Amino acid sequence: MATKLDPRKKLARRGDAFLRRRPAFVFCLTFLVIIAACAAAAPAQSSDRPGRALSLLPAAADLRGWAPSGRAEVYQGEALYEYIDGGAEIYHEYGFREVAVQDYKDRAGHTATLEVYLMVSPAAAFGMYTFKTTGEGRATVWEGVEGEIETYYLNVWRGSVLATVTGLDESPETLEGVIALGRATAARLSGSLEKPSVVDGLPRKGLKPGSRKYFRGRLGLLNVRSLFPGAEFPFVEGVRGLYNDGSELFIFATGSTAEARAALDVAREAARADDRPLGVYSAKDESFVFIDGTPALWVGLVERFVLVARTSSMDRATELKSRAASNLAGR
Amino acid sequence: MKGKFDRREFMKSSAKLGVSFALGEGLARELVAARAGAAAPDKADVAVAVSNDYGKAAEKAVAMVGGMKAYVGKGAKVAILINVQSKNPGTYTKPEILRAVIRMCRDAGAAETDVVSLLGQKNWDDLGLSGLVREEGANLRLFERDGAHFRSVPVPDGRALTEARVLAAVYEHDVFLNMPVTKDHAGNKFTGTMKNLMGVSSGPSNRTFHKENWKTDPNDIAHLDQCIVDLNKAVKPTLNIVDATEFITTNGPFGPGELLKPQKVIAGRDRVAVDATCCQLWGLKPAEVIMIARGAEQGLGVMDPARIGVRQENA
Repeated sequence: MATKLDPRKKLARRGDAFLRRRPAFVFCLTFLVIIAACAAAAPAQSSDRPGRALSLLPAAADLRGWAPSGRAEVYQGEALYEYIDGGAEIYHEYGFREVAVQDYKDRAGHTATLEVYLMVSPAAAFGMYTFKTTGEGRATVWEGVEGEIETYYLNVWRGSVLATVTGLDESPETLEGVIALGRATAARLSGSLEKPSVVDGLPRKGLKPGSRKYFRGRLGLLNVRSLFPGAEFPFVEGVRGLYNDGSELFIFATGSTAEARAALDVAREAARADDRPLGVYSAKDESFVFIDGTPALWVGLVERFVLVARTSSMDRATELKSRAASNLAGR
Repeated sequence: MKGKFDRREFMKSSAKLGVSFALGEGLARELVAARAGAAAPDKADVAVAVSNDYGKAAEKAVAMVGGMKAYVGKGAKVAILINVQSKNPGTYTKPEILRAVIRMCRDAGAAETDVVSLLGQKNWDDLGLSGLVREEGANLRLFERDGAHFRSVPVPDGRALTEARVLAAVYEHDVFLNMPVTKDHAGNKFTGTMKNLMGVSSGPSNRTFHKENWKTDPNDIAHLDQCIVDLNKAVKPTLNIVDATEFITTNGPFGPGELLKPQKVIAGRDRVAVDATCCQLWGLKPAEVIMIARGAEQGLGVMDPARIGVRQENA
């Protein structure tokens, strides 16, 4: 008597025959299985892996006599706190994505550190650039980037990237290396040098080059000047410029004229609550003057912008407002 | 400065206050005094030593406040906290100052000197400090930022904190030397003796010093500074020795930033007075630094320049 075939074995034999007659099908199936396995092994999001910042680090071949020393480190998102213990907030306020950090040494042992910060946008990178530069250094003249060289460090900006190179001593040899690293890194950057439009609101006449500070939140503003402390003064973004005559102008952008009016009210109340001022005077054009010494503070509106001018005369405040209004019209 | 301390009396008052038996004697005495609501000081002395030899400046500053033997007894266990947050110029406590202080402790008769830190080995290696500590016969003790190495300590008269999570090692020593570098800080504009104590506070605890909505809350900085003041009520260093030789005045605490080089080492017991002296080095007003103002208001020390006796000498 013939043995009845186990149904499972019958099915297996049918499957084998099916696959033997269809090699292309087998190939495609195998390929898909491999792809699925790789996808499962990979991190859920590409941003979890070291990315673009790492690729911008120059190699030894790009530098004369300087070479990477040790392994590069990459920090993304909240992990920035592991690198900048206690000082990461300002980067997050501007909008931080990742940073790649690499030490470089020359044959004599001089050391410099390169940090390549990938921010969320060109505006964020520009803001961090203005935060970290003094405005007193020497401008770089490298094509395609904006940069400033200080006594032992430099910063360059292009697109969404800010690169900082720091020499660990102030010797001429180390500064040479800092500049070489900066130049090599600058050559690898791409993107636009278009600044946030609010920056163009600053009147150009008499504006000190390098004095522009662009900010996107309270910390950035606090590091320029403590205006309206304790008040929830609302703004989307802002800029500050210093002028040769000692005047200082802030332009805060809000979402609408109504929001600008509300911000002005907050500023006025904060000034009144301050027990220092000699007076708070309101004018018909919705501006007010806050006097706690010299210079006085003039605060007023231009469409959706709140302007704050620290000047020694109201004529100068009026002039700055008028020029800024012309620059800001329709923005 | 170092007085006799009756251990039986300490045990009685400790039991009442629920203070741990394991506290080092010197630090326990300070904590009990703080908890008992010791009166706020009327005046404070701050020593400023100037020299381009930073080790000599440290020796001089300590000599001007009584000498290390006034703080470190024979056989004492000493804990030292410096700042090694970054290797950028002007952001860390100078090696020469650390070396001089370790030597002063040894010469005063310390049985053991431990340099404590919550930062990683790399921070110490990058600055050559791990080798220095070893050369001088001290111990580098690195700890994780949270966990079993921390102790919950009550905060007397805490306004934002009722308790602090402090590195237990600090309390296992007779003497605690607080050695920050003073510099700019993007978060609250200034760092000195009071803020440096975040270096012995657990990571998760430090994170609560920042409000969740820090991006929009105008009171976030005040909250941070109040937490720092409260932490300082729970931990009182025996002596503060501040590196004010070269430090950044912008882009702090990590740098790089503009360097100021007063070449000074500043020492004192009163943290508020020392910080008030330091912040003026780059034009800040003590009353405008929230943690200094609140530290003074809440009895931690003296902010009024008229009541701070600043003595400056060349080393």
